[in-house]
Amino acid sequence: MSDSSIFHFMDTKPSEQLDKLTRLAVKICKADIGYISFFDNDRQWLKSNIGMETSEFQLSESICHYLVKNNLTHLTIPDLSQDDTFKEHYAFKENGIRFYAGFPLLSNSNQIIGSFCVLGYSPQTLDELQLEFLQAMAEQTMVLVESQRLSHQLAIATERQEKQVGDSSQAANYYNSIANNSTFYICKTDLKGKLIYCNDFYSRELNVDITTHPETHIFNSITLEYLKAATEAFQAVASGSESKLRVLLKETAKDQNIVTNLWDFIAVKNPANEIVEILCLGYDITELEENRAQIQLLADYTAFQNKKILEYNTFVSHDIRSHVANANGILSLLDIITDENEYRQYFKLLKKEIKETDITIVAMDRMTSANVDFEESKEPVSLYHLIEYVFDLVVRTKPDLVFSYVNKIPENLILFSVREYLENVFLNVISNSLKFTSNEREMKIIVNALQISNTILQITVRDNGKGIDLAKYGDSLFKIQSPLNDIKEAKGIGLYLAKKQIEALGGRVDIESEHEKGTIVSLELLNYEN
Amino acid sequence: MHNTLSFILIDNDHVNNLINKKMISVAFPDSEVYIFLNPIEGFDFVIEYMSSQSLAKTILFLDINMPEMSGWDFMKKLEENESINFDLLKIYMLSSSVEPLDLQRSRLNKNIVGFLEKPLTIKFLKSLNEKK
Repeated sequence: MSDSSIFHFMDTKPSEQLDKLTRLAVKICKADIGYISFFDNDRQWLKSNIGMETSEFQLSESICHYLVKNNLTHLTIPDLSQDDTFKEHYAFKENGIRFYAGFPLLSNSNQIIGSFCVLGYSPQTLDELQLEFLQAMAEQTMVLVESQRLSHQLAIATERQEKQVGDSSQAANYYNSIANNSTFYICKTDLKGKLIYCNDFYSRELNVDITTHPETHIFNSITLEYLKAATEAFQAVASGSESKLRVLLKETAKDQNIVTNLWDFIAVKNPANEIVEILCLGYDITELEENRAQIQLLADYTAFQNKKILEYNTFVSHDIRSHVANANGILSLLDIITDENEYRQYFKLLKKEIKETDITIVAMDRMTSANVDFEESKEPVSLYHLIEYVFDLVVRTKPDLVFSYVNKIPENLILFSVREYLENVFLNVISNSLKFTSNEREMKIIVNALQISNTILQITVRDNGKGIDLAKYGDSLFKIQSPLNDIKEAKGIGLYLAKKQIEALGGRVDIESEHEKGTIVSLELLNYEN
Repeated sequence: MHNTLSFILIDNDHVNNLINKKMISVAFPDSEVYIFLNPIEGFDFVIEYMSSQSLAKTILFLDINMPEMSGWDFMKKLEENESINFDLLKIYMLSSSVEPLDLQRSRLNKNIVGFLEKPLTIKFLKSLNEKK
């Protein structure tokens, strides 16, 4: 296979530039025919043709074949009919060609790949200038051929590249569509954080349009309290001290919603290993974060409940176990007592201790169920009559106590509340007051009510007792284990229960006390004036 | 009187006092037992009693959980009083529940002989005779 096939000239369309050379050569040499041909094995094909009827023939039938076969620098035959070698040649015999002048076209490797020829129907001898001209034409042809080969290669390379570009732009489109259909934030920034690219999700969710606002920075949407963390992480990656960093940020999204995003900042390097841009990948974890917050809340609540249980445990230790200890003591006494009357007395005492243990447990059970939904158990309650009922209860259960009371609650005041809770609250508060009776004067309790706002009713229970040292007992006053409130019906849990029940009713309890002057317990309850 | 023990019970639980008094009277029929429901009154008595007679050993059973003054506050106040001879006043802390913190506190205080869980037992009371 000859070099000409490499040139891709066979069977290609005519070249106007080569035709110009051929035409010029025909003119200069006063010839009838001129052509530029290429060889491909046994075939000769005319790339440029002036005057020949066919543009392709067998190389073996051609005069040029002789040029190739003998590897000549050129071949001139002034008259074929007079030449021993060519007087019988097909060209003369069949076509009447008398004159031939041909120069080989040489490839870079000096192989003859074609020919530049002029022919005539009349004998002719070319002068030196004409031969020189043909020589130059043959060389010029090769320059053109080479340039055309290069441009052909270029064309092929361009075509290939175009195809590649086409492919890569297809790939780019593909990745673009992935990037844009994803629920991830994807963006690229320069080393200062200015957005170079962002996906649709980023644009949409964070309300950013870099085509209209090219100076948008990735930090623009980040909330103030997270800005420092964001810039620090970004700087660490942009400066190269970290190749990748993950940071949790809160950002202002569309409609001014605050979202929580987890961002990866990744340094992108050029082939020279310099950081040129930062790839930022973000994932909206608002929902996860909210769940986490919910769980935290739940954990806090559980911790709070656990603390309650701990208090409860202490209470169990203190109160139930004191009853049990007493019962145990009585039991061991029953073993050694012989006097029947004494035995009966201790046995009575034992029954009392067991009963009080039971009362304590019942009171506690009521306390632990104080969280139960009570909306349905609310009813209209006359506060005046409720207070009267509570005092009556106290007088009946503690007949030995000497005290007086004034019920200043308006008789027409009706509260919409849980009667049982209110009874317990006032029973506990009043019992607590009676615990701190002064030795100096007779105990007097005044109960009053005042609507302090449209929605809040304040009820005060004021006594003239010896006062409670709040600095000392204030903290523990409302805890279950407080031994302050040592009334027999609800040993040690009185004020704790009162506070809890008031809070369950949406109210609060406050206590003030002054030594030897008395104590004021204020209960604030939700009550709509009308 | 020289060889008999005196007992002081300070506890706001009167049932417990009743039981302990009976226990002591069984273990030491000739002993004297002083009972106080209010620790402040009990404190005043202890100071006066310990200064009025100096030969008899006195056992004090002191409850920890009391509203007017806790057993620990009682101890603090007692230790501030220089007239008390702790060789003659043997103090036992009493509680119905064993709080590790109370137990530890009792062990660390050289003026406290022991920490007891209620109720007292005859067996324990009788062992006091040997320690005498």
